[in-house]
Amino acid sequence: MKNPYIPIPVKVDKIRFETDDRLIKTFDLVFFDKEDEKEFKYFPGQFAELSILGKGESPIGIASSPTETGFLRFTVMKVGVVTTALHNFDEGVTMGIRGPLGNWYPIEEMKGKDVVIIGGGFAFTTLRSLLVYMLNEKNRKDYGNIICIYGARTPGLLCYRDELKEWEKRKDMSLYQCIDWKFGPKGPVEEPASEGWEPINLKEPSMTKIKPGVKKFTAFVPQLVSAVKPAAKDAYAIVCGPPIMIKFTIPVLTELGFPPERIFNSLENRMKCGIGKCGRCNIGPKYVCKDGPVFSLKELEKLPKEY
Amino acid sequence: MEKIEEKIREIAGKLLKDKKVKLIIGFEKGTLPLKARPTFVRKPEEVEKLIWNPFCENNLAVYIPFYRRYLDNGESIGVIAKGCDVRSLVLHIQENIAKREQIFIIGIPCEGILDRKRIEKEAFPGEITEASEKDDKILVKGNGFEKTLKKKDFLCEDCIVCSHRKPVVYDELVEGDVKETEAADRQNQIKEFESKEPDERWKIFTEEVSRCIRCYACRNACPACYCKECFVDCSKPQWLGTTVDSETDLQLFQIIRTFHLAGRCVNCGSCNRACPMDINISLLVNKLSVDAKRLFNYETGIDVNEKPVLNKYSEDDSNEGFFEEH
Amino acid sequence: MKDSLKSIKHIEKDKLSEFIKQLRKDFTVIAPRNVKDFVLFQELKADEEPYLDFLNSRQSPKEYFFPQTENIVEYEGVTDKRVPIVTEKQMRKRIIFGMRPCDVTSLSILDRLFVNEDYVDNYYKRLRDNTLIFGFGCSYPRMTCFCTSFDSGPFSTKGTDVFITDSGDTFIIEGITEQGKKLIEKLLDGDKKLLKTKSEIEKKALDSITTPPNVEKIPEKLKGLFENPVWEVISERCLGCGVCTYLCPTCHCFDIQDEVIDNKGRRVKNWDSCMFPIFTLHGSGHQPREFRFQRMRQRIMHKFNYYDENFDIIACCGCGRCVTECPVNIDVREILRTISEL
Repeated sequence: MKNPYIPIPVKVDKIRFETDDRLIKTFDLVFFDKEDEKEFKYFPGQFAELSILGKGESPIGIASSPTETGFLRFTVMKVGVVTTALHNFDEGVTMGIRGPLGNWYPIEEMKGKDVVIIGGGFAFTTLRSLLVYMLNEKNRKDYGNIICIYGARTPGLLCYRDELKEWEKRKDMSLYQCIDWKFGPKGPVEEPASEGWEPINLKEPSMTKIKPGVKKFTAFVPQLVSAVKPAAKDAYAIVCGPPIMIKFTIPVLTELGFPPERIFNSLENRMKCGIGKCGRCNIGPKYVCKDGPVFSLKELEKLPKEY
Repeated sequence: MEKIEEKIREIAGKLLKDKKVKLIIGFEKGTLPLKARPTFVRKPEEVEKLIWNPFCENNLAVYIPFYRRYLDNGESIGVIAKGCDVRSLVLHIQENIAKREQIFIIGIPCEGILDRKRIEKEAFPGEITEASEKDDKILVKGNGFEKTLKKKDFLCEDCIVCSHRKPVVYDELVEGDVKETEAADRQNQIKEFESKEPDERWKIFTEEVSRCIRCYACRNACPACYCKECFVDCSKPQWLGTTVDSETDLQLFQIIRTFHLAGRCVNCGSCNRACPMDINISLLVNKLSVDAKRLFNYETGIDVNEKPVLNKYSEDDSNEGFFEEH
Repeated sequence: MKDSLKSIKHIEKDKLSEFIKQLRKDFTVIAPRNVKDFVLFQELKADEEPYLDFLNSRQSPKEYFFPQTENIVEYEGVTDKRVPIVTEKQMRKRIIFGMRPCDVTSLSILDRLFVNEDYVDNYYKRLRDNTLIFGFGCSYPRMTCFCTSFDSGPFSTKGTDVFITDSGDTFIIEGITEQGKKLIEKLLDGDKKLLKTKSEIEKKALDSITTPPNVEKIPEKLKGLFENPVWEVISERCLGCGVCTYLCPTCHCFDIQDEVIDNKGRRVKNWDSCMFPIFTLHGSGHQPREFRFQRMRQRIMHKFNYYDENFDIIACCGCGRCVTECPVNIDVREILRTISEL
């Protein structure tokens, strides 16, 4: 029986800085053994434990899509012992990976429906996986309209900026981006944070008149969702971001008519084993590593408010 | 005992009625024969459950750091404190965990706490199902056995040589006459261990500590251990390993904690009573207490206006151990 | 009838050490030993006799299936080139001799977590597969015992390979599984009278467990109690140490750590406790269970509700160790009664 605790060896193939503050890097990992790669069948939304023998492990969402073969992409923020060691690596280093772990976004359920992807900051990583998966020519026809709303604090903190530029041009999806307002001494400053970021109606975001072709705004993500008003009929919303963003986005979606069973979240919690045995990451009877990290709002409402 | 209990309830009831304190920490009857356990009363009618007997083995000062939210709000907390508890409270005040005026000390002159583990061993391998105490005797009953024990034969080691049975500071003192022992008694108590060769002392220490399961009951029962991040929990840097198969890690945990208690330990013995593996936790720190007295004429937790011994310096401090003349 | 009698044996108490000597030829025998007037399950050395006069061991024998520190994998070399060294070491089969029914029950509780169709914990499974259980009936249950609340009892043979009853000057020995029956083949045959003696001792034992808490409705009751203020009351005296979790035969939380000395290292599993504050501390500093009442609530909900929801069994076997060893006398039976009365 395969031992789920032993990491599979991988090579760090490519590293690049993802954000201007240099705290987030993207790593492309390559399996040494092609058999291991074949066995690593994953879906958008899953995560893996990035394992550095001698330092520890870190559960990171898989940013690459299963349609991208030959490598696994992870976007990692430098936070603790393991991620710091990871950031100090050079290309060519050997490390380990355990996975794929957890459940995934409801790609089967969403077939034939519209999909609204909402992301904040660097929580966008697994959303990239989902987006690339759906946009792939083999899969695109399986899904309806795709709207992506992605925001960060400043333009330099958006991830995958070269791909964002590509997606802006696509005709088979709509990409809206936003950055936080700047705060001046007297409160929020309404001028655009930089060239090309339109302001929205701060007092009543849903009343914002979006001019055709304008896709970049100075707004918080929940406000941009209010402004864009994605259609809720037969549509799914996938929301990933910091807790405060999720907290304010959910009511907006609910008001737009998204029912709890069609709003999905990817949760985070402190993890160790990643396979539902060490007892650490549970919310009520569900283990975030095994029964999640993807949960619908309907499922979350049944769980105790403990995160 | 009953007189003391009555007095405790009277004082506590009045304090709560007059709203002088938000909370009183005391003892109530436990669910096991030899146990009294900490309890918390907030309403005058609840004081009926407060008791006092020689099974009141916890140091109640350990709860003060948990009530920061009351203390920060300016509220006061009452504590039914025996001699060592009082000294721990004084330590908290010295170390700015609480202000003197926020801790209402109901002092109990203590005749010593009974060593529950030693009494239980009288019934081993059976168990004690009933226990009662009267005057200077304890009556224990078990399955097919009954014994009368003399209290003075079953006092905790630390209580036998306690030098401050009468509370050194209090807001109300419950009457009772207790004889203080000489501080020198503690010196006598450790003399036997002290006189052994270093190798033998090391052997005794490491054998005791080899049973440790890193449950941290000793640390958590200790009123002087209130660090938000204990050194064992620190991962940057990882000072200590967390495994139990490394003897060094187990020994280091005890040794480092002992040194963190230097000059701060009141020798209440709560650590020994909390340990589920019956380890003599205070073996080393007892020596540090003796040293503090001998080298700096210092005893922990006596004067609220004093500073802990390692926080002050005077030119005529003993230099023993620093500058040896050869 | 005859068939079941075939697996009843008995042995005089003074012949026990000879029997164990025979067992030690093929098995490592782990049995209760007297360690400073309390009992622990440890490996018997040479001609040592097990200390069977005990009520129950201070620590549960779960460490023989789920060790407190267990190597996951070893490795060597420098950080950026390390690969795991996986070696499958042969292990000698073991017998846990004298395990009380509550502790045996705890194994079947842990089995559902560690070995299920999601993932199999190979380490636990290996130890479990290579161990035989010689259960030992409790003629004198402790005041704090409540195994009868959990589909078990002082003489329950469930989960054992061989079951031993102390009947005075002899041990009545029953073979429960095929493996167990084989090991006791050569012992003296038993008879109906012995079974009768056993059931008398069993009745006496059951009668002595007078007030076990009724846990049948507890999982359902707990469902609506997450926001209830009772948790603050229950946990106010808790010190936040790990005694209850470490002594508990069904607690299974663990930590994974890496340790490196010079060029050699290992990744280990270590027991951990949900009662420790840093258990759920996020790297970002976010702490979902900052207060003791939240951790106490997690412990009770996990054992008596979440585990039941996931695995159809309550994660408690009524051994009472948490009751006798808690430094501040937090009594789980009291908690269960309080909950059932809410």
